[in-house]
Amino acid sequence: MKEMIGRPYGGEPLQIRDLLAGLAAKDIKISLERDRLRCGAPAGALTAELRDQLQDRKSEIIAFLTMATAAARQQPAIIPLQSRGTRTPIYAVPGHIGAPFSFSALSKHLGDDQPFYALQPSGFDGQSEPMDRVEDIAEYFARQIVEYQPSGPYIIAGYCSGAATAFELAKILGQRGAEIPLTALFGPLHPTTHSEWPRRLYFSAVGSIGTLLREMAKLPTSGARLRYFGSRLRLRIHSLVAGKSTEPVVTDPVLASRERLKSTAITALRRYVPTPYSGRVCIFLPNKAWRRSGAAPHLWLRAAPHAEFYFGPQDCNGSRMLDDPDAPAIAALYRQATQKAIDR
Amino acid sequence: MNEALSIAAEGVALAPEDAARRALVVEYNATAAPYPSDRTIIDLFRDQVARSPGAEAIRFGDAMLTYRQLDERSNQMAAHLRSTGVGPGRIGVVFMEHSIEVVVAILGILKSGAAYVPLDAATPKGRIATILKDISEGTDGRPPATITQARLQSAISPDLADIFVLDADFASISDRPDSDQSSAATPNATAYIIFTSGSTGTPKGVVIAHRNLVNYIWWAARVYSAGERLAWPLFSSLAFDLTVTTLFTPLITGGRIVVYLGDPGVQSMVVLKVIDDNAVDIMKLTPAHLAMIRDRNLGATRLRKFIVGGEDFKSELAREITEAISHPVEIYNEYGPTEATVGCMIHRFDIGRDRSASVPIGVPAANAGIYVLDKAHQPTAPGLIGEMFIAGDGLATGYFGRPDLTDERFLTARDPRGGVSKLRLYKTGDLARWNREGRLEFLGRADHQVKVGGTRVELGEIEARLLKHPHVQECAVAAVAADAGLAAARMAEICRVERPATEHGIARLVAYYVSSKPLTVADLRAHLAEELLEAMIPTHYVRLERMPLTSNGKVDRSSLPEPTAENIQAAQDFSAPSTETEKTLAALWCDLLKIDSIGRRDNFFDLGGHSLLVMRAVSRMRKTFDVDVQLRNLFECPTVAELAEVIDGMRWVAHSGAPSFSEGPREEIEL
Repeated sequence: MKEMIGRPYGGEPLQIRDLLAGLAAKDIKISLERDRLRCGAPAGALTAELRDQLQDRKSEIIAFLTMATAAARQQPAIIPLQSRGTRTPIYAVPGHIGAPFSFSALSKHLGDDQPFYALQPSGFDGQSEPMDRVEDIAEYFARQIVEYQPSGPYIIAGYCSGAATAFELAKILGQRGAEIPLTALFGPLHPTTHSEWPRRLYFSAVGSIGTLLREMAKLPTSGARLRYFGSRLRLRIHSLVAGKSTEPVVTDPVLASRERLKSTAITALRRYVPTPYSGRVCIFLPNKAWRRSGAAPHLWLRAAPHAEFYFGPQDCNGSRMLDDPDAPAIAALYRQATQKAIDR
Repeated sequence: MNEALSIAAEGVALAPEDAARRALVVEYNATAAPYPSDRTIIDLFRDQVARSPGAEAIRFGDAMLTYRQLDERSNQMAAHLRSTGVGPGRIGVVFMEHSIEVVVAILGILKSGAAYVPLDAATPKGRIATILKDISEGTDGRPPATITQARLQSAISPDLADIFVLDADFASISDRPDSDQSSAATPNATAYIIFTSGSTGTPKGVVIAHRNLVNYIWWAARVYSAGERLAWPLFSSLAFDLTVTTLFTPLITGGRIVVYLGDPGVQSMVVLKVIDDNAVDIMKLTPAHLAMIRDRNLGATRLRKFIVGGEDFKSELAREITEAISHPVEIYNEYGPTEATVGCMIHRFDIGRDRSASVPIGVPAANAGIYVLDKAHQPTAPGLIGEMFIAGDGLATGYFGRPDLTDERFLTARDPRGGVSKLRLYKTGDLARWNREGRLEFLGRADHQVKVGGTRVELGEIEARLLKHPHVQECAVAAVAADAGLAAARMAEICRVERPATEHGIARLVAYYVSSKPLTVADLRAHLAEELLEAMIPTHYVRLERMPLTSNGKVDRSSLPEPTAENIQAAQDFSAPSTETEKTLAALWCDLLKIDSIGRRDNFFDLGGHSLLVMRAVSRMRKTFDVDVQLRNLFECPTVAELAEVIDGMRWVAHSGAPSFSEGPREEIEL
């Protein structure tokens, strides 16, 4: 009876992966050598019919094995948010949580012609170790980028605390001869703002007071404002009192690895001292008021004296500047910066 | 175009000297029109009684009353109420089914100088008790006089109300004098209080004065009755302010009220009775009610006018109704919150000119002002989203017994038209913007927002876009919390993996719709994606035969069915996972995303996979398949079929590097 490896009874041809799984069960190994297939099998297992079937479906098997080999050898740091397009590809370092999706909205608003790769830091996958030096993280990214795209030009971007890594990454790639037409830092945190609690307190206080004042301004009478203020105060006190007792213990492995990555990234940022870089640096801030924030963006001028500053709209939410609804405005600023380079 | 809905920030307002400001703010609101502001609605009714005493005023089946009879009955009712202490400053609750008596009761309360509070006959006991307590607390602790019928009496606690059972105790009022006594009501006195749902769950009473009511009814009489004596059906809930038009407009224009009572359990079908009875000329109803009559044979109907209000009104529906009736019909879209007395904007549908998906809400009614303002209460420029504010003679006194809420929603701000004078404005909570043609676009509720995947989402905006689909007739979008349910059980069974702790707070958007023909999810998604942000595209789609309606004829969101494997439309034309890897992967995603069914062409991100869920998915796929699945694989191959192929490939590569398990000689060939 003819072997039925390639075709189930009376049905369509087996998918290649099922065919290969059938061969694996018979301890038949197939490997790819350029455009040829090498098959190793227990003596007698490769019958004439089986050889004919393998020959008939050789091109499909090669395509599958090529895909499988590429998947197994991939650069895990390169997350293609948008892999098509003719513009210079952007490689972007996320903030200290390391979430590559933080660039999803920006990438979408930059359009279909703008290749955009988010960079996933070591440690984000929950199995590799997070790195505690910005220079090491940047070196890791540089290797991954060059493996994925051997030659430039590359546009390097960084968001929040990821800006420091992006800055270092641009320098490393530049020193190795790659063309870096632009380093784009979105809402960058300068390493001198390493003191985490004062910075968080600052942002939290500014945000809360701003919201409170705006809401109170809408109310018609001072009595209504006073009542509103009282209700907010009570709510705040309640949440402070209740918050501590209900704080969940982080036992979830994904949350735990994220916490570890976050604290290591902050350690790395604290240690980092940016050194001068002569390439083009554009700093995108959520709004003009952000200049006076605890992020201290002006300190980047010490290492990049010619850095250009771009400001988002007045009501742009600083901590979510790359998300909707602010992402279109930030994308427009980015296009403005790249157009400026073309116009020069 | 992608855009997110948020009210325009300060500093982008129209400049005072701008021509657009003059057109959209000043000229648009030049609505001053005379009306008898020194009279009450009872005065206007008595004028009509004097003009047509023998004309039929109200009919219910075979029973009818002329204007004179209705006046006399309501005089008797008023006399009885006065004898029990009901009068100016007091409140009479009307908890009755649709009948001639309910109109008598309302007129009687108004003639006594008190205000009426209508409660729908289907109001739950708990809500009735809350409202009665609220009234009692607001009127020196005295239980309100409550007029009801024997069948409904048991729903009211005697401790909370001074009950008068109109049908059982009718003899006690028939001895009262039926002659006119001068009404104690004044233009500034409260005419009615309608309790609407509050965002906190506690009903809030909107206090409408006689002057507000007279301003509206005088305008409605001019626009809708236009000198004719029309027959109006009283079928919608009395607790819904839309019904105020039907109640009073005919009674000051010599028209006739025709009463319809819904059958128990199918109250919303009463609208079909009105159509089949074919005894009225004009009808006020919600778009949902209008949609119900679309398929009725309207060829011989005597209906000539429709006033539609309460919800977004789709042009397609207006077109279908116009075309279904052989004689010319007038269709009006009337917009207005209860706080601005029934209606404060109007547009007459024009089948030739109205090409937008929704019928415009039009222009301000007489003595009303409509403003689209930014966060600093300044008029917005065309194209910018603002919040609608209403000014004018229709503005309610405020909320009953809620000065805090009244302060919050009724503001006194600088007149948006310019100058230094102040204007009382009602903050509607509705979003709107001026389009390039100078028309006002209604964009839904400002507070009708939910957070999905960290993004603030405006449900009304999604509904508005969905309604623009040529075959979608009605819709509602809801945010639901995902439930482990079937999916988790299935995952445990297939993968034999330990179930993780239930993930709370994963919100998913579900689109419910009624369509003229079956639509695919891909079609609906593509339509929505043309204008909406990714986070605003619903995960699930449920096609309904008809929308559940409240007694007010609005979509009853609480009665929308739970999305289940049975009623959710498959994201693609469903193609079941075929290989073992696909089946395992689909089950894993089902469990993670709390979805009951996933096809092989379904996309992880379209199903609501985002942020932490992505990392959980990667982590669990790695554990389940024992290969190094990376985040990148999921981004590159987001469907079950694509990713399963990659996983199979990785497993093959892992296997090919492992030592042989069979003993004995081996042979090698090259192809």
